[in-house]
Amino acid sequence: ALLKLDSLHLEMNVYRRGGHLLNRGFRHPVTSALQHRTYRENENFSFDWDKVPETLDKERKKFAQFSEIIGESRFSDTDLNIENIEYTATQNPGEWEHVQMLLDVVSPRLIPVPSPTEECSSGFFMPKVKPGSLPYFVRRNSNWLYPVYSKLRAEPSYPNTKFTVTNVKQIEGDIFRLKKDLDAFLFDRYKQEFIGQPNELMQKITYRGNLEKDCKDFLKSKGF
Amino acid sequence: LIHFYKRSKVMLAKARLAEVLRRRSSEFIKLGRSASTLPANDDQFDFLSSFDIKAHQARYGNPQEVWVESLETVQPNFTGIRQLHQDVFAVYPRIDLIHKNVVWQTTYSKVNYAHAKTVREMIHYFGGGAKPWPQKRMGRARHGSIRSPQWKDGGKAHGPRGPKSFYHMIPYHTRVFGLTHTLTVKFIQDDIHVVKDLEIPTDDPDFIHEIISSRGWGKSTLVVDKDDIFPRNITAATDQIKHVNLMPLYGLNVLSMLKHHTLILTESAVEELTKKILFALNRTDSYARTGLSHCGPKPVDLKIEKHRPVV
Repeated sequence: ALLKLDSLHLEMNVYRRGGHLLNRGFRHPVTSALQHRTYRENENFSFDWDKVPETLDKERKKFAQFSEIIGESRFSDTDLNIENIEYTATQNPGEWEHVQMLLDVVSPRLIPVPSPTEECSSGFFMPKVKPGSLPYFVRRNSNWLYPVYSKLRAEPSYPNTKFTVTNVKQIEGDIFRLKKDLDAFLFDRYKQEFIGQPNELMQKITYRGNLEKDCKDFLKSKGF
Repeated sequence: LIHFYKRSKVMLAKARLAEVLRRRSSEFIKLGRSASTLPANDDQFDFLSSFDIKAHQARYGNPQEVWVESLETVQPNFTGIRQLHQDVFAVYPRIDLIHKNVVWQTTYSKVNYAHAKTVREMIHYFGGGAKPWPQKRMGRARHGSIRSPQWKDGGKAHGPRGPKSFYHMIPYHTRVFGLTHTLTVKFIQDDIHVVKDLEIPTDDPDFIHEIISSRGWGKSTLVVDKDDIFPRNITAATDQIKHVNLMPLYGLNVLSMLKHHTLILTESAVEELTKKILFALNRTDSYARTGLSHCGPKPVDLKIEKHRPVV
């Protein structure tokens, strides 16, 4: 047992606080269990009528299968006991090509490019306008969505209060023209002027308030 | 008993120091893997060969065009034209991103070895833990040891403590954008020349000097090819010239590009570079990859893809 005398204890704390050993900008690694949960936190909002079988017997069979696989560990905090499942592992590089083909469909390495003519029920469409036609152009995300983001920003003079801010990013061309059009669009909608800050270097406009939906509607109407 | 624990305390600190340095050195070894923004060439599942670049090509704006040269003659020799991708060579240049990359490259491997011994360390190495004279009746100032800070050859109270490393990682996308923005800046300033291949007729260094002067290349050139094995003649010719450097594509970095006046890329290097950067910009596992920069290298336990490492 280590005796911690007062002076020694103080010095150990000095070494432990140890700026001389830790780096500038050192980050402690997060445990993987917290990052990637493989089990549900609670059973709220997890019931789906479509997944319930039609008869009692079918339900019983399904539950028997479920408890075979997972068993008692569904009530514990530790990881699932998946070793009960029987499987065979092979190391055949020739076979992996088929697995790779399936993986490329299920989880592709690159974000797939949707076809421009496809019409979706969600209202999604690929950009209809080319960069030269309008005085400005707003690029899409790498995920083919609009680059409009809302976030909280702290008030400088009152650090405990926060207000929302909307960013319209990835703007190419005449930003001031786009801001003018956006201001007119928002005034038509709300009969109110909104404070916006164009930033030419960073290619973005920042509006006070949560105007995410309105900016997206504007961009949709333009066909970006 | 007290002396024993003091000694073990100092030994513990020393051992801790050594352990930290050992850990940092192993991190430096792994750093190459997590720091390189471009994925490694020895990927077991060579997906880049099947990567269809046409789907991502010329999405927005017009692709840039560049002459393709040949190094077989001293006089300028243009063999064709090549299109360059806008997302790699024609972005809206931002100097602050380039600056961040340069600062990171210069400081992440820096170690400050300044270390000033404290009173206890001085006592351990040089002695003097006893009270030099009694507290009272001497007519002298009262002291506990001859190694306190006010004494000559005493310890330093709040001095620099131990080797301090400035290792840090900037985010993954900042590094990717650093590459793209420096390439655009170089391209805008006409400092990029695309070359068919690096075959030259002689291994004479004067040939290189003549090429540089006739074609108007700058004071220093960086020659980048896809593989790390270069043809014999160019390696022999540039071996003695310190301002003409050969580099494989996986070594491409912002600092080197800024240090050299001109950048010469082979056609295969340009192709591979566009593929890798487009992958870096449009990858599906960017959350996991940015986590590597933030938390350091560690295996990612993705449920579906247990055998596919995040690079």
